[in-house]
Amino acid sequence: MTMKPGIRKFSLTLHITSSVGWLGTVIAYLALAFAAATSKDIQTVRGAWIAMELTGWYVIVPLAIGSLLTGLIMSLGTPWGLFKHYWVLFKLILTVVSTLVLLLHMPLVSSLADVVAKTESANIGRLQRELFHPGVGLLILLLIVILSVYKPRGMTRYGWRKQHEIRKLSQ
Amino acid sequence: LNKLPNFKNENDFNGEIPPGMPRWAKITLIIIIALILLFGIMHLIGMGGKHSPMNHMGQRSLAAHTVANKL
Repeated sequence: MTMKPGIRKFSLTLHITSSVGWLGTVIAYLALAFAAATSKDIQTVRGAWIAMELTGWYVIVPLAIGSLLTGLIMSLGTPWGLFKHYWVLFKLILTVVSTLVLLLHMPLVSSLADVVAKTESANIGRLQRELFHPGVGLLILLLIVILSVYKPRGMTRYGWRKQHEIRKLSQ
Repeated sequence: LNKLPNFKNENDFNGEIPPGMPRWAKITLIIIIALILLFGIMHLIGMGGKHSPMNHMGQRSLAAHTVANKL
């Protein structure tokens, strides 16, 4: 099933918007996490955690799900397919894994934001740091961007078989 | 159905051999597996933010309780 050019462009716009938005928000989240981890001011730490929780639930999660869904629509509605090319397949795996880890991690962010809100300033140094998840997440998203831009060649066995079948039928 | 190609087996495409996985794909696959393993190991040894995989099971109250006890 191939989409009409107008619908394809619209889907592509949605996909790029959600994916780039996801990447940008993770960078902003990382800046907040860095501020929360290094600041000695309890108000700054509390503010950073509140912002991280809100940004995570109301921006990063919707953008991640949007990116995954529009990516599925784009791959299934264009000749690229979902399992025909390695770069598309790897993007799918990385996006699914990132989204799952994000969804599993966000309840903990909410818990920690609650804890930080009740923490006295004397205990600020003992608070948990949140740099690992956004750091690894950013690396994965950058890898996805590289795959999207370069689209390195390489067809999977399934893609090659499909292409062979189409060539046979057209003869 | 008679239009479908009749291959003897999945490796027989009229003498053509399906391509193998390109080098970049192998390297990327190794990076992906390494990242997933790193993630798992960091969580198991507690370096992924001083919390256990239990905290990723949606046990919000438990996580809050655990962290609150540390303070």
